[in-house]
Amino acid sequence: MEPSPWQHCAPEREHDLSPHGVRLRIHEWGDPEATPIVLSHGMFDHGRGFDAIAPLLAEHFRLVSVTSRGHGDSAWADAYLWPLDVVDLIGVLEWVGRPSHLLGHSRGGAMVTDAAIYAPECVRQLVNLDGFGPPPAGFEMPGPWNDDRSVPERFEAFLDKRRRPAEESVWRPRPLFEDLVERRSEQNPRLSKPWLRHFVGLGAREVEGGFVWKADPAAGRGFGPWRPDWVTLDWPLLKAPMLAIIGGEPDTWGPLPDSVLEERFKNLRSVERATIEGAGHFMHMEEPEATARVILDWLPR
Amino acid sequence: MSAARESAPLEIRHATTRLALHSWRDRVGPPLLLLHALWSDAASLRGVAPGWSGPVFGLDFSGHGRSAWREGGVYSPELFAADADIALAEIARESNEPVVLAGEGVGAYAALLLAGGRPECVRAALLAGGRGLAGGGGAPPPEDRSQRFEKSFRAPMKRALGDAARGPDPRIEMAEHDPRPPDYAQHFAERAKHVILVGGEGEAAPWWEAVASLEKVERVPGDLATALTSYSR
Repeated sequence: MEPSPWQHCAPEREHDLSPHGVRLRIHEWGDPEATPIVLSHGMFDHGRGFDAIAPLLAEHFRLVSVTSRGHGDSAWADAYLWPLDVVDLIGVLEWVGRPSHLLGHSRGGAMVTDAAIYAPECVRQLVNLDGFGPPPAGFEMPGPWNDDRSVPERFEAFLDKRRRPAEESVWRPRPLFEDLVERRSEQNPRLSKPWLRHFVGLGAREVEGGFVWKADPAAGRGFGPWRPDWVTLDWPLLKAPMLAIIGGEPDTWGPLPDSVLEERFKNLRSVERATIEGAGHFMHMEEPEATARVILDWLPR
Repeated sequence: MSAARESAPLEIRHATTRLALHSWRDRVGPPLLLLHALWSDAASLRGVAPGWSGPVFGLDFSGHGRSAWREGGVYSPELFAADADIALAEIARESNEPVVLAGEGVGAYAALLLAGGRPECVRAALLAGGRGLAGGGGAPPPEDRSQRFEKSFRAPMKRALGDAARGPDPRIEMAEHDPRPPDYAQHFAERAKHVILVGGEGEAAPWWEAVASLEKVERVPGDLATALTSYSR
């Protein structure tokens, strides 16, 4: 593999933290004494997804990037539940030890919003990068996820997966690293191949027979009656101001139609909107300079 | 399953789970699997089916009794039902007969989920009241959400760090308040072979009432022991 063009963006510090018994990988950039920003990544991503933007923000802030349980280099759990990821994030905020800004992307954006709601004492302001929940009818998942089975039938499939022995509950190795890059490229066609090689390279590992994702396949395999309209139920409780950023271009996971966003933002006391032109859902990876400028203009230091 | 296992439970090690399955009676006939209420354990149901004609099992859900605490601390009725499903697979090693499930509290709700999820493996599910039956209602409640998060998730996660892994896992608390929409529960009852609601007057959990409203669902008065005696006839 060729050296990554983002090698110079590597974190300045890397360590583990187990605020609630599950080991989380933490990456840090910037002056440890500067105002902290705690970062939270998207689903099946990892904390190094901020490599392109972090050095730009680190000129003024201490950045603490958290890799969620079951993702990247953090430990796996037996099962996953949204509120426990939020509690983990609050645990990191408590460890940082002073009120911090929060910045989250996609699932991480919704997660930092919840963390700010439930631990207001730990949070100053938050930046949400296109993490405003799924469309009202839920995500139209590509490929095998898209089925019309009844709820109990899908639960039976969930039970089948829980019955599998541990050695069968892992990713099937892809022969080539480039296969994983291609897979991710299908989902995120806007992201450049060199960036994907950097990003996927940090989120995958080599095993016998090829390459697999580091993320636990079970991390996206919970089962319960959650519904998209529950996303904003707690938003009226949010005290911290939010900077809501979307990309100007349509992309695999967003943005939501403006009418839906406006309806959801009505639940917030203080929200400012920004759009990164020429970028999609992963604006911090596609246009890190433009995204960083908007954030730096808005966040107090 | 042998009679020798009656004193010590069978330890099922599966993936990252370790579950204790108690085998209380070894007879030929329809197997009965008893599922306990939240914060309880299988032993609480040991004497509930003295006249049952087949083998009788009791499962300690993860985080309860002699089963292990769940790694990472996630507890939900769906995962309790998955625990019971692992037990079904174990029971099926010795008997191909569909199992009768009888549950109290959250064990009743897990029995409903499993009866709908595995209709070919579950002959009937008898559902009785007890701790963790209602959950948090049909949807997340509109008020006290912040306090609920503190009580259900943040505080128990902290408590679990301080407790040695003895007694019930404090994080079980989260399964007492999970939302259980009535239509969601109805889907499971509709696919299940046979659902019997035991007692339940005054329970008034929205999901219970929704299930009770289905024509195919049977309602019987009394408690679980009475209902099992009546069912086994």
